[in-house]
Amino acid sequence: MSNETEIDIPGDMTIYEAGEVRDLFMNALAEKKDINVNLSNVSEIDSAGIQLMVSLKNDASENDLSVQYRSHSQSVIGLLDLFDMTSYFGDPIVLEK
Amino acid sequence: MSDEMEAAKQGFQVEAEELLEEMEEALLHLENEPDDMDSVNAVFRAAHTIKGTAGVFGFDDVVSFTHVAESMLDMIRDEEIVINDEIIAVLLKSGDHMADLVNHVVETDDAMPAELLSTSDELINKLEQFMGKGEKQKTGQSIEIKDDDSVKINRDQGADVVSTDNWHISLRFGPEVLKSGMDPQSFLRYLQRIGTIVSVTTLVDKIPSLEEIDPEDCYLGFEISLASDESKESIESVFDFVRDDCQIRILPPNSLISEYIDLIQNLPEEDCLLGEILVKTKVLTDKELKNALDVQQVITDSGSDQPLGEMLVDAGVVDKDVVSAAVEKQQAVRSKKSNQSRSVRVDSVKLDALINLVGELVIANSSSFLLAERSENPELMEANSITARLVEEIRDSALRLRMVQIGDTFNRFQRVVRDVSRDLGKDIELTIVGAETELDKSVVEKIGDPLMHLVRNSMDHGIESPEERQNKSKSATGNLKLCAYHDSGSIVIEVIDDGKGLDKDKLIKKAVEKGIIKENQVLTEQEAFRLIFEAGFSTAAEVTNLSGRGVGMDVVRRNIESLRGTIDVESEIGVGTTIRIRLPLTLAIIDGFLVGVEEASYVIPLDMVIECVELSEEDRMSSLDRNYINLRGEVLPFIRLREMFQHTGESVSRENIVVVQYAGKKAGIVVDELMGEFQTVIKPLGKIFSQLSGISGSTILGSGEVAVILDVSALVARASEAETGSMLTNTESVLQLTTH
Repeated sequence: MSNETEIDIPGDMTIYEAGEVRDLFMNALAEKKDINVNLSNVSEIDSAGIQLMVSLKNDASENDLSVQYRSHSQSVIGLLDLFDMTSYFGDPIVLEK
Repeated sequence: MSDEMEAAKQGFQVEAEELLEEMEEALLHLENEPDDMDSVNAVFRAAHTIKGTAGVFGFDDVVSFTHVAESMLDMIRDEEIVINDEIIAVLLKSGDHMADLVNHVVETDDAMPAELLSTSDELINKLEQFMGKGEKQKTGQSIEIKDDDSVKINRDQGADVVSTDNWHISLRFGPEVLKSGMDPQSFLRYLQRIGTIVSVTTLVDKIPSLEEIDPEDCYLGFEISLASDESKESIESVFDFVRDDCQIRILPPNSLISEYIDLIQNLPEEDCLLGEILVKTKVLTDKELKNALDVQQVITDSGSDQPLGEMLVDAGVVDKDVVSAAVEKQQAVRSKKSNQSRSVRVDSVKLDALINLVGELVIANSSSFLLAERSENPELMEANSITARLVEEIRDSALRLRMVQIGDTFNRFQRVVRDVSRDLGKDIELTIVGAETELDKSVVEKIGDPLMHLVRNSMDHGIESPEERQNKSKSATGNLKLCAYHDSGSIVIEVIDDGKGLDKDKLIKKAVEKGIIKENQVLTEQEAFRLIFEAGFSTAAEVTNLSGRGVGMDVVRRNIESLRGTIDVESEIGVGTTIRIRLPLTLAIIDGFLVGVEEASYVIPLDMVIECVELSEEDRMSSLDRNYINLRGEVLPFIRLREMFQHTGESVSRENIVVVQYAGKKAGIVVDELMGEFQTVIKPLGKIFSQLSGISGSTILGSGEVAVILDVSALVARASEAETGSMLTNTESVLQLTTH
């Protein structure tokens, strides 16, 4: 058993997937372990998606757990940039060519 | 693409279409009265709203083009540019181009095609020429206005002005924003386009825990510092779509400190948090904030609870434009509302479904009527006839729902006539008569293109150049008239010009050249005129880009005929030409007159029936070798349905003749039996029957039998031909067809 819960977001994180993504996050949180979210497959993200990312981070830190978002897709990077939230999440972002 | 987004885009398209129509109307009006400020405002508003909305959707190409048009209109509004015909011409083209752009972006997701972009550039170029020095001058000017503001502020408030020269925008999105298809990021992206976002702070403190979050609600807020030369009005307009759902505060550069205090106070976040954000984003300096909070304390202590609007007005810093835009918007909403209470928009599919049902109801009703008649129960028959009357009324009102006035279609030609007459260097005036004449919407939709051809043709070939006209001692201005009226169950549309008229001899010569008719074929004047509707016929000496390619007029004729209409021409050399289109009022249900030959039933449209007479024995005998009778001293050609449809049984002892009229010509139809009026739901014939002349459709009788609807126009034409002696060949062709 690893000491981290891995979440692979399977696709977009827009308002249409928001319900499913929230369930994914809640299930992960229930395991009471640090969380690692893979964003590489997120080809589209909107404000609803960002809100869930914030919410997960808040909930986790209340439980003294950490959340790391990794492998940000271009779309995620773009939106974080637009909202100037990169430093808010503080996750390392790998810039690809 | 999501459904909501698609719906929002469609909404945008409809809105843009309406705005552009208004814009065109206003521009045409400006041509006559260049000083009319209301029209200038209307044009500006159209461009402005389209730009704003397109921006929210992220349609960059639309925004960048519309922006230039808007800038110029703004200069006209400020009376920096005097409007003239040249400008109006370019603006009209710009309007058309906006429509093209909008249609493209709404209908496909493809990139903008190069030709549209090059038109954009071309028009932008022209617009910028009108603006003289172009954008720079305008920007300079708006800065001046801002300076005026600050001067005023300075005078009123001493030095309490913040030092930043960026706009400050505070956004608190309402929870419903995402669900209604908007995303805060699209607003930010649009702001990026009209300026530079110096800093943005995303407020996430309203986002609840996963437990409580509604993943489809929006909880975000933003504090944005924007460097932009746009006017306050145009920055406000970015948020037109969400203004109702959201809290939006926009502070112009160099605003009063008190404005910021107000902002801090009125936003839901903790005052200190906001203050920190403002300092962090360098909107306020530490000192400014400290002063601000001091003043704020005083205000809070004194218990002042002024509404936001009053405060703004008191402070005297609200842009005049912003106020007037808001007022305009409110008025527009109000007038829209009052329109809504008078009319309801219904999906035409629903209307079609209703008409269909009414059609079925008519058939079902005639069946029960038949049964009632057979039962010979007088009460049942009475009850049935009441139902029948009501059904008839329902049918009429249902059909009336589809009726629209032809005026809108006609009015589109004002623009066409204006443009084409300029292109041709002719002076042509369009008169419209009978714009209130109503006809079925489906007919209106299909009549536009044929009419366009006819109008262009009249202008191009019919009306002479001003010099030519003056030589003929006509007025230099040519007259084109579009005319509509009702006539015995049809609507008649006329395109009348006072041009040179058709030359019969020239037409015949040309037709012989083209091999359409034989060398020494004799044609009546009517027949000669009708040659212009033949495929491959064109009389214009030179081909222009408007008409004269010999395609068009034959297409016009075919279009009209496919609507069960006819087209004919009247003309006099040197005086003018009238092209007359005759169309059925509706395509769905008609009042029919039921007649019988042996076992078969036929329906004649009742509107065309004039009278029914018995075919007297004397006429019967004489009519064996000729196909006309003497009707009260008038020659009446007739057709025997029995012969036409090859009923082989013995003829009955008493035949009747139904006198019908179409387009001014009368003819008789000889039948065995008159069965009376009958509401007829037209069922179209299949494709294999499309070549069949003499029949326009079929219907189902109450008994379940099929009856054929006769095409009176074809029958009348045939009867008149028969009268002139060419009966034989025609009858043969019909007979061959009907036997299959």
